[in-house]
Amino acid sequence: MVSKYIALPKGVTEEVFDVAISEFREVLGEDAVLTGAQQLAPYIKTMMPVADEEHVPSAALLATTVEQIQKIVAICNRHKVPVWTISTGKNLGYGSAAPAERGQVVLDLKRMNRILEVDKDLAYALVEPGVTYQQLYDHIKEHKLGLWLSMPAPSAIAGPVGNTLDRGVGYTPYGEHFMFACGMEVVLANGEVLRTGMGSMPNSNTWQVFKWGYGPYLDGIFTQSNYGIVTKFGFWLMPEPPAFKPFVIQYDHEEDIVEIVDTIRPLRINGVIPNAVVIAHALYEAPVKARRSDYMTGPGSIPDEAVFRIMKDHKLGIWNVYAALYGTQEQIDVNWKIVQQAFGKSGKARILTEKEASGDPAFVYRAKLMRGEMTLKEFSLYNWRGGGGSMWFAPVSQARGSETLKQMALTKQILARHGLDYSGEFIVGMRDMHHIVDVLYDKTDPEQTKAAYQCFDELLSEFSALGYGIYRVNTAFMDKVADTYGPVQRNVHKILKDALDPNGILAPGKSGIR
Amino acid sequence: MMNEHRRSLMKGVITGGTLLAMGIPGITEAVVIRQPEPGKTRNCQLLLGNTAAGEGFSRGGYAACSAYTEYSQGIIPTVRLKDELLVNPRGVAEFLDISPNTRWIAVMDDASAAIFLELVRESGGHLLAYGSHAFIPDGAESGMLRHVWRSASPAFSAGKMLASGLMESRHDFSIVENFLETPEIPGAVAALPVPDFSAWQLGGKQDVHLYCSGMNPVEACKWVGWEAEDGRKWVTRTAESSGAAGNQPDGPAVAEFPGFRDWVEATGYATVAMALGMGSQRDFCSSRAFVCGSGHSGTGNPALSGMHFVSLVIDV
Repeated sequence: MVSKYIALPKGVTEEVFDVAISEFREVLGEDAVLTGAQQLAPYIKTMMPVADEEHVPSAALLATTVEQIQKIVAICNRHKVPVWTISTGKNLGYGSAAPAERGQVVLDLKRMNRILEVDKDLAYALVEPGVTYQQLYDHIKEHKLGLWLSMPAPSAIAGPVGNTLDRGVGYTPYGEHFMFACGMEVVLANGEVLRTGMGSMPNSNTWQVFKWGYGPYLDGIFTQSNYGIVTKFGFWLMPEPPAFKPFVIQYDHEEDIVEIVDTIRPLRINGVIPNAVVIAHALYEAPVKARRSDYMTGPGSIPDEAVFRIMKDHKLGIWNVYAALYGTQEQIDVNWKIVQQAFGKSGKARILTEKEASGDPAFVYRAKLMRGEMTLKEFSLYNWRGGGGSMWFAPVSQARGSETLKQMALTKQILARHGLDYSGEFIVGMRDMHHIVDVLYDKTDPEQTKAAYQCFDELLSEFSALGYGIYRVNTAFMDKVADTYGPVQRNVHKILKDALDPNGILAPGKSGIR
Repeated sequence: MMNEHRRSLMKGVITGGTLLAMGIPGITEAVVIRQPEPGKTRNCQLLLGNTAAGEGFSRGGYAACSAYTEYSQGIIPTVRLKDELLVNPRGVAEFLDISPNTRWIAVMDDASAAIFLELVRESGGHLLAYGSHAFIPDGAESGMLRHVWRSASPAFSAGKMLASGLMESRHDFSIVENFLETPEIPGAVAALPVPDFSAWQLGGKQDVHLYCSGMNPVEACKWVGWEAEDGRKWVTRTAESSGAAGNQPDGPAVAEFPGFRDWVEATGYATVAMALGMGSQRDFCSSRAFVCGSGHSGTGNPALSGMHFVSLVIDV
């Protein structure tokens, strides 16, 4: 007997699911409950080295109001149907829009896309989950609000709610997105609506300006979690600075990374460089300018000799340090002198500004991201190996030069063992560093897919054994990463889950929490 | 408070300038295709994205279109993109918005395809088939072709047609098709007749089909990464004679293949023919693969070595 659904939620019979679907349709209308294969196919494609069948949803629900979401969770509780909530679903390389487990119902909030408020004076926004950065950018331009956004690489098509809730980052001084979050509205699994911080107080007008409210601070438990469905989200915006000066500093030797990080750290902590500095390896930048097949054919990872040729042909350093100065021209002039002195000391750096690098496609897209402009050029990475395989490996370390070389050498070694290239960058926060590596592979190649899975698994094991925690991971490896943080944290997560969502209907599996 | 839905709708209307800025020509003639729902027709158009495969793919597509003149009313309109998907995805999204009732056959590189698929979902589009196509070099001028499709159902299947087309080119190749929706299997069904291929199914599992040429099923499975569960063995299937009842073509009889210049052209032909609803034959399965070890693994065109591209067939 063939099912009328392309998948069913775990433990739910087709008869029970029929009832749930008809109840969803009563709440949302026929057109907002998708069950057809053609309708659901755009939700399925992932870039992870596992069969997409493992992430096929049973249905997708297009809700538009908080009241509808309250009714949906009631139906889910009644029939024990799990929902996987997405805002815009652009978590490319982390699982995209597909649910963590086969058969989960996707709750797609793309139609909840109202910009509720943007305050020019206090520089904050309150938005619904479906709002994209492009929408908000247009709104700010249209109303001449003089505010800047900070956005991740998927920029235009992604949105601030999903990105911040997954603790994503951007490239302006407001790039640590959750640090600039202020106030959420959350539908809980029991249908209650919680407003965090000052939002809980009737008649308060400080919901988007004072984070902490009274009592335990709750916003954090709704990030990278499955304890509620965020339906409104406040965050701070950066006032447009009078002047902006992006620059790139190139180095030619891999071991220079030690000097780079030790030079940057005091500049970051002292606020001379206000945005997160990106230190991109040549192979991270190369796809914007070059084709891998012009330098390497056949299996295996790309040899260093080919990397040097790419650097030479495309005017790249082995390390390319992107940062910017923001403020008045006077402030920038003072800080620029400090930057030049700091990086000029060793004589190894090539310091390039817009004047020298304005025609360079890598510099152009980096400069755009650092001023909160839309570009998706970074995704040229997907053409490097081709075949649609990509996983972000994202360990965190202290911002010390000595950490970088160790991490890079280990990563390269593990990748090379599996025939994969090192496409990595370090992002220097304030005192921490994210080492971001795009594990690129050809998903149409069964051998390479198997190698990519083993490689990623090995990266996680070896890094966690050395005490390097992963700050974010794709849905295929969430349990493994959750384990690396030890049993006590997992147990606390579980206790919270059981208390807030006893039927386990909200995104089971997110961050390894069920 | 502002309703952004209204804003989106308004933007959908103001697109003439955007299209011109993107270098997208106006729609000229439409190829009208048959729809599964009686009485409905849909325009079919080609979208050539940022890939060197675009020209060859479209040549194959045009050939398919002329082969099935019964269903076409002129050449297939074609829109060309450069790297708009990475620099101005909104322009492409607006373009999709103003082309309702259209079946798009899109071909592009992996980066653009990742973004395009997001736009398709956002616009509420239907994805009928997503194909990844590659020539994997194993040396200077040799290698194998690999095609992997995920399709909504076997009604959107190009594998058999492409397998037949590639046999002429004498490449080593594999074609894997996975279907989200599997039609009910009406008892024992004979295999599709595919010249030069032997037909197999996994013992006890009627919904996984394998067609091999020049190799046995065990070798073929290695090529496509299939692992038999529980020690199941492959058993041979008898191919029905062409035209017999059972696995009937959904469209009319398949036209003669034109001679293809290269594998990209053959891929364009099979994909467009599938999108036009021609020649796809219902094979009652959830997955199937065609694997051919010809012993000849040249590309025939060094420029195509290492090439990857993606094809998408969508309805908006």
